Amino acid sequence: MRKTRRIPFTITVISVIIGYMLAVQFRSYNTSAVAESKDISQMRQDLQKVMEHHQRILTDISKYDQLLYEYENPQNQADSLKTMKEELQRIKNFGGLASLEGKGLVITIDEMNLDNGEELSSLSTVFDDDLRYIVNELFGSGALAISINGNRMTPTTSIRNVGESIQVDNKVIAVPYTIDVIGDPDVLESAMKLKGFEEYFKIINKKISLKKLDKVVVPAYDGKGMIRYMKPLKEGS
Amino acid sequence: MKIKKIHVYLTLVLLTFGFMISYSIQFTKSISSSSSAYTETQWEKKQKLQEKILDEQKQIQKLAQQLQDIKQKVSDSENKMGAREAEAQEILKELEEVRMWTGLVPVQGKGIIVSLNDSSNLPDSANVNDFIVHEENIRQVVNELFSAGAEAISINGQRLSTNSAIRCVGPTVLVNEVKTVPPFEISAIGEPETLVTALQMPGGVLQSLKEWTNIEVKLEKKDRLDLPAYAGDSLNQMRVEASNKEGDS
Repeated sequence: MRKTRRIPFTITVISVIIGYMLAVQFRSYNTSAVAESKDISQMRQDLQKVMEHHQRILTDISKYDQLLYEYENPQNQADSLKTMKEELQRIKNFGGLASLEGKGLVITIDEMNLDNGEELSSLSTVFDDDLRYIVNELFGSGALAISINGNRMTPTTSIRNVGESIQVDNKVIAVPYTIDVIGDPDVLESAMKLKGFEEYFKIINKKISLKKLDKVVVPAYDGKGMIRYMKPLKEGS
Repeated sequence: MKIKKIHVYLTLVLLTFGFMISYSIQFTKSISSSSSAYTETQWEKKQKLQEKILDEQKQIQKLAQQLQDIKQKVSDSENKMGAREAEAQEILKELEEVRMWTGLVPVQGKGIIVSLNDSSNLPDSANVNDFIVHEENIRQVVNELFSAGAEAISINGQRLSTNSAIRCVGPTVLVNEVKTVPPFEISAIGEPETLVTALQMPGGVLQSLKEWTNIEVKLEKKDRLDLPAYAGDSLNQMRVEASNKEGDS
């Protein structure tokens, strides 16, 4: 009797030891490696961003170098005036003061056809944040010019909810929203798809459609940049 | 009979036990040696990456200064032309204005600094997301400032322009595709009173940040703010022009 009681006891002790050993092994196997490789991919991303920044500045430098060269070595007086006008036009295009056309994407956000007369909930409103988010993603993916329902995005554009409606620079816009974008159509389209805007707008009963076009026209901003409080910062002032 | 049975049991158990121990020792040994080698190379890789990043950042600083010098020279020769010709004078004035507005030159003026920071008392249990600054919080503030008449804005030294994006990639916030970390200092040039009033309006941005998040917000009026220039206006243009040409041919 005493001997048969020892067997379960032995087995219990051994089981405990084995369990402990397994636990230790599992732990030693599982730690560190994962966290560290995540760190590295993060750093690679950082490096990539820094290198892109480097590239952007280099391109700017060569652009302005070229401009400086044209100023300093004019064929004649009229020529350098022409260069100045061209530079002004370039900045106007960039800032939204001139209309632009080129390849791009047209995004429309419209009511979804509800076949069974589902009640439109308060969930079905597009908010200013939604439009800001889209514009932000598009610019982040290399868009050159954007307008929403004909309102060009400028350096100081604001999109905000005022009461029930959305205002772009104090102009009221309403559904359907049409966003005209100039940029690489494929890149812009995939950026939109990647962020899951289709699914997102489905939730609020809106249909978003993307159309790649060879010719998109983005109108000019119909206002003027306000400058009252700032002046150029001169070297050493 | 009984004695034999116990013997069999013990033999089996001890055999298994011995096997497990030896296997375990070997296994842990192999893992610890390989993992230490692993971390060694990981560590080296990290070190190299870090050096590269720092090196790039140093070069960027130099290049940014160089770009600034060239821009200065450009406007110097434009000024000379303006002094010679009446027509050039007009263009010059317009150029200066649009350059300030689009952020292509550094500017100064009065305004405010809004700084957004992650909450300092981060509880272990609560949802961390409610305690850190998200890119949409920054966008909200920026949007409100522009709507209240801000003329120029920079975030942690990155000047905003037409095609600026404030994005989030993983845990990092990118402004103009440049990595930035909290606290996010949003410097805005404009009439300080108007800007502050707009932000503090009941139901406005500051109130909603207070209600929905735990991030720390600070406002500061400034008599003089210096904002840097935006860099990168030509690369996008070149790319888009190139893609348009490609389509034509």
